[in-house]
Amino acid sequence: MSQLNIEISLAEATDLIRLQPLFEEMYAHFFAANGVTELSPNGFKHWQSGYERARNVSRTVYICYDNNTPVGFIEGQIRIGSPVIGQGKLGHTAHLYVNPDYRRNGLAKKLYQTQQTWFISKKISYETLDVVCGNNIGLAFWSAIGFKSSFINMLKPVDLNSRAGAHKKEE
Amino acid sequence: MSATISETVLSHIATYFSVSADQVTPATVASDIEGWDSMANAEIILGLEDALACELDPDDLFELENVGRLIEVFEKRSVG
Repeated sequence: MSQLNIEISLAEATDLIRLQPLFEEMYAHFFAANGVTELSPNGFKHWQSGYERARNVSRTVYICYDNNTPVGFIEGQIRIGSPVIGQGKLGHTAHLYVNPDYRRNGLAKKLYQTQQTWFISKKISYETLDVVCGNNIGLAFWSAIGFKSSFINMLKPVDLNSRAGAHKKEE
Repeated sequence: MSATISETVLSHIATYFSVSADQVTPATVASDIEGWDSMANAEIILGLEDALACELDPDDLFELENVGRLIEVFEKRSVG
């Protein structure tokens, strides 16, 4: 790879469309890893919606460019945690992805550090994120930064048609 | 004349959800307004913190059972 010319900047709403190929590629990796997390047909459109209003208030997307081409991004959200376990504001990393051709250049860490500066400015008490099952590289990356596993998020599709059929048989 | 905290909170919420001003009162709760989910809740609180140049304490975040309580905590923090 030729010399990198890396720049990280906070995305404007109009910049998000340039992330569509990376976003779809990321979800393809998710599905390859766990076999259940699929991007819906309008998933990217939904993801973009509302960003303009929330930008820099409760949500950020930082894009990593190489020579003006997006090669990675990170999305952070401020969430309100659970009072049951005494959480206040949480900085939640919703997505982090770097084009595989650009990995091992420290770009994920740079994206994370940029986002973390924003999280800290929002006075969060915890950072949270979800790691796709089977993404052992991601798990190692976040563990090295200091994250600890808390919950395992589980998913089970429900087929309402077959459930309705089952009830009919029971009647 | 600048808006009071109460006016700012009520108008911020009405604008956020694109509803008329009379649909948001101190008695309003999240379930009264379509789309007021946890993400919207965080966005509203952070937007109000910016608008009012005032930060809520973590404990405040768990006492927000209705819009009136949200107004009260911002009034408390803005003078504290």
